[in-house]
Amino acid sequence: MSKKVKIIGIVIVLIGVVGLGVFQYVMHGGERNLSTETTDFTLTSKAISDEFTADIDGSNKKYLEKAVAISGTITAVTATGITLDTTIICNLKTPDATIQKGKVVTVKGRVVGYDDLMGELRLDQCLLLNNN
Amino acid sequence: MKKITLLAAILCLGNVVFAQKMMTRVGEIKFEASMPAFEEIAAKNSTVSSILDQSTGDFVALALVKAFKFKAPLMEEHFNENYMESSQFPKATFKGKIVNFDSKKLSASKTTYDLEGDLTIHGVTKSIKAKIILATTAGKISAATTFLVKPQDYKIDIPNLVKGKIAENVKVAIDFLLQAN
Repeated sequence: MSKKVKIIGIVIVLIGVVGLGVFQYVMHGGERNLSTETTDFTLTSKAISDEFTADIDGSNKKYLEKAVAISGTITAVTATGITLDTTIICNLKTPDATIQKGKVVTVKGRVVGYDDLMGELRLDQCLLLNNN
Repeated sequence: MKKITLLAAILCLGNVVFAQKMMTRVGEIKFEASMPAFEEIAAKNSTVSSILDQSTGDFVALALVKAFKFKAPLMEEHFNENYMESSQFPKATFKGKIVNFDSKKLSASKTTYDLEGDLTIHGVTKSIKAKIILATTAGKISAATTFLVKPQDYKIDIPNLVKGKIAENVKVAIDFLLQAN
């Protein structure tokens, strides 16, 4: 009798663990964490925006989805992110109230794509590598 | 003579005012392709760019496909890699016109206009028609529209295995707040 109870108990716990694992995988699997990822490209805001204006398709192939570190001067701060040199729009992963316009920073983020309507490059999941 | 110069000046000024372009970088597009009794398939993009030319009613919008956010990252991955092939087709665009647009007639109350133009998704361009609701408050123009998109029309293949779980007509809702730059 007690053996049966034990087995049932173990089975229930196992189902629970597997269920939790599946749930975690479905809800959070494949999530990227830019803070631990290696940086694929490190360059200035001007260099990357020049590359995109010269050859959108080629640059898309090279940079899309990649983790890049871009340095530049902050020209605008919004509720969700910052703009570097008016051409790089970065959506921050966690909003930071200490960020100020005019500072020279390096931002690491995922390249989402080039907006040729506005002539701007978009990054998301951004974090500041230095904020002096 | 004085009158003519004055008139010319007023006309020029008028042109400057009405040639004003209204734009946004944080427009919102939501879509939903859920089927009853199945998992919710919905995503939101709140970084859509859009420009409305007040003098002509020309209306353009651009959404980066990779900026659509789903609840589950895995679903987002499938959306990008299997359906939208966003590395090959990184953006979805609309280029069109608001029919009979007249910036002087805009008011705080919502008015429905006809929207016509070309929608490009997944590298395929189709002309679409929709109703767009416009209103203006404090110098900003709000524009909202909803329309249906058939993935099939844009050569987005949905495997038979999941066909029952994804709606044949995807509901797309657009909400922009345009302002002078």
